[in-house]
Amino acid sequence: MKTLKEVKVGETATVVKLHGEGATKRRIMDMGITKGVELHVRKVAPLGDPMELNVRGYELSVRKVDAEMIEVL
Amino acid sequence: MELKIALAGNPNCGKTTLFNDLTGSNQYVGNWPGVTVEKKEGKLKGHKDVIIQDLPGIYSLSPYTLEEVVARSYLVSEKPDAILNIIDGTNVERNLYLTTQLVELGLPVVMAVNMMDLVRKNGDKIDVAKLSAALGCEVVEISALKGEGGIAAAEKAMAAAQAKKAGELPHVFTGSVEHAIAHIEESISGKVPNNFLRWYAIKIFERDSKVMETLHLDAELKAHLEEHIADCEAELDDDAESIITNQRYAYINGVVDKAVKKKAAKHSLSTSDKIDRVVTNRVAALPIFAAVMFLVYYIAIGPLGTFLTDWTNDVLGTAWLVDIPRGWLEGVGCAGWLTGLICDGILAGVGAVLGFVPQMLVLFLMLSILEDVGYMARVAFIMDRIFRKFGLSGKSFIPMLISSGCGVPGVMASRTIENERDRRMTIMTTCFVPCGAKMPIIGLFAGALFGGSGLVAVSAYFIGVAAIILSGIILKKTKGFSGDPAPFVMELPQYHTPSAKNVFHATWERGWSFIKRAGTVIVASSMILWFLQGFGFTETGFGAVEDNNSSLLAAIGGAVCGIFAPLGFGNWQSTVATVTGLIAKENVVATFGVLFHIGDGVAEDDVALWGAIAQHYTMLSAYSFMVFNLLCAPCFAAMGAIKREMNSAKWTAAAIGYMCGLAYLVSLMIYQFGGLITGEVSFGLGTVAAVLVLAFFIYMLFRKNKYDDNRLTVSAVHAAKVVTR
Amino acid sequence: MNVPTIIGAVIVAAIFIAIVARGIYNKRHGKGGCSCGGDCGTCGCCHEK
Repeated sequence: MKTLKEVKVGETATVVKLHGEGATKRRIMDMGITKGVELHVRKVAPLGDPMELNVRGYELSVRKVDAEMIEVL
Repeated sequence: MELKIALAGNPNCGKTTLFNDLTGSNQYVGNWPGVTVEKKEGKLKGHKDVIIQDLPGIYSLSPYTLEEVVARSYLVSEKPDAILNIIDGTNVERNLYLTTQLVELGLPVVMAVNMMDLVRKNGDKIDVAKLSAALGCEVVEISALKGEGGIAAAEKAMAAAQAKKAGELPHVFTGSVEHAIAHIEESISGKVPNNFLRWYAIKIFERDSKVMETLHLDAELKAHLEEHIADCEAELDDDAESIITNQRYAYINGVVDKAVKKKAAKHSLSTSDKIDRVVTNRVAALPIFAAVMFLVYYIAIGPLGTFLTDWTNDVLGTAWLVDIPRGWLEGVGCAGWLTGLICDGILAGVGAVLGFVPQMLVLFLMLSILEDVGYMARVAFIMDRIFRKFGLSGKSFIPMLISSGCGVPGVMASRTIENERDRRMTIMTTCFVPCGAKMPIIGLFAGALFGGSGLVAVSAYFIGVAAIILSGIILKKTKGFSGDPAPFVMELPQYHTPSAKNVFHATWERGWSFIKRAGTVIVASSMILWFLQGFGFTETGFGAVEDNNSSLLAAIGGAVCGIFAPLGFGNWQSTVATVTGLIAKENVVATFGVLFHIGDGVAEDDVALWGAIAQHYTMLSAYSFMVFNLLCAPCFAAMGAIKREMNSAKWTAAAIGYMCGLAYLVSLMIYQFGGLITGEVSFGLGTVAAVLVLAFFIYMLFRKNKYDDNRLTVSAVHAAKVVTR
Repeated sequence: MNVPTIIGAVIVAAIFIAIVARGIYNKRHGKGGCSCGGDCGTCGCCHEK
């Protein structure tokens, strides 16, 4: 299983499934990371975390811990 | 009849800008998500009976943070007559997600697509008619910043409110989900207002606990509904919440494909992204941040600021403010004591503070520009890793940045933080950042003892940041704050050229408030101080004293000042200044203005005040005093804000006690260790105490976190239970 | 005490009373004094608009 955490900077991936549950998952989904959406990893913050994504045409920052819950292809 | 129109939309989509445009008010606008955390009302220009309600930005109607709760409960329980939904035209997709939920509320909705000027500039096209048809509400194009179309949008919303007709609801979901929702609607009809039926049904489908609580459904019905939901979940192989979110976005995808034509290729670099490549660059981001803050403080409180203050004092301070009134008062033959009260009390105190106004304006101007450009959200992104180390999220950085202006809104901005523990820790530490009112203290000492060096202010800022980081690490290892870090999911807004109007307005408001306090609080405290330092018990009984060292104030201050002796400022004036500083931090400067002028009988100008300060302090004791005043309890206004946000006497006391304790110990170390190096203090009890304190700090910083292991979640839950009121 | 002194003292006392009374009034009406100027989105608590 490949997660968003493993996607390299500059690569694009498609979301397969969101794992986990509760408020964080809901928050991530509300921000537009849902099944089938394309994510483009824009960059990683200076200290290696969090990462900046381009999703649905805007910039979103998520932590790697949360990125691990996002299964991608 | 009075009409209420609520402005709803995603964070940072321009609600407050539109609000200002519509109501003619001047609410503060910034370029990061979460500027507005409270709702605000205003009357629509030209329509006395129409009330516009500005709400905090929300991404969805399933709230996680306090300010989202504010917006949701307003929309659901107070039921405005219409909702004016503002959409960021440059980011239609995610903005429409909220729209799909808003239209379900059963209230008349008008959609205003904002930032059309940017959309056109990018060469994108939005088909308004198609959007309108797909979402069942009227759509208007506006540009709030340029003032285009706002009034037209408000008029549409008024018409919709008067017609009291909600639009035709779009069928967003697929067959089986719509089927389940229809079933739920049927079972709860009569229990909820008719036009809210669909919204409640969807919330029940999502198993929203807050909505379930308010409905009091009986167990049998609940079980029956649960069956429907479970069926749906089995069929679509996902949980109910995800199904709803996925299908909403799927529906929006379809709409956007038809209605929005983007010129730029997907994931292409916008100007904003190009700036970001440099500013949040892996290597350069932290140095750039340090350099930016260095420049801001170096310029404001350094050479340029000192030059401005000198100039103000030369022109305004001596001649206008003190000499002319004195000559005049003496000319008309006023009694000496009244001349003294006015010139050596009020004017000396107020003048000492007012001299810093130009410097403050420079500082506020630069901070306002930084806020308006959109750099602040980047700082949160850059700093998240450091902050997470001790369990705070990068979001905690936003309150801290606001605190560089004033601690009160800084403390209140902590509301955007989801996690209660994080919020408490942010409230506790955010006042360490030197606020505008603390700047005169820094400026005074920098001028008096450090030759006007800008490095003093820069070091004060970084000491504040260091205090936050170290406090975070130490507090995180205590029971009350242990636990998992909160998630950090944050939008990074586009950069934009700062609007001159916004920047000057924000600068002026802060500056004016500073001047206003000088004219009120500082005047009153200077009067009281002048009396207290002018009278005392003499050999002939109570009366006026020649030397204020034998005054009542000196006696009171002298009784307490011993505890500050190990920190290097055991004179009574320092103690008095520290206490009066609680009323407002710049009062410290006013206090020196009153106390030192008379004590030394020097001429009344600020350079003379510098001389008096230089007589009473060494560089080291001045620095120690300055650090103590930066870190110790904030002013009463900020303490009040802490009390409100903590909503607990125990936590408020803990926060203020912690600040004072930390300030004392840090100043102790600065003076004792510094004194050993410069030879100002000899080895003694104080040194031993400082060594012990240092050892204690090192232990607290590096001890193993006993709450940081796999049992974490359990102990954190337990701790959370213990501390909840 | 001469006339200018009395007039001056009365003015000063009046200013003092006005400031304190205003402060108490603001406090009673839930408006503290924070230095943001009352126009930021975060301080609706201390300045009613």
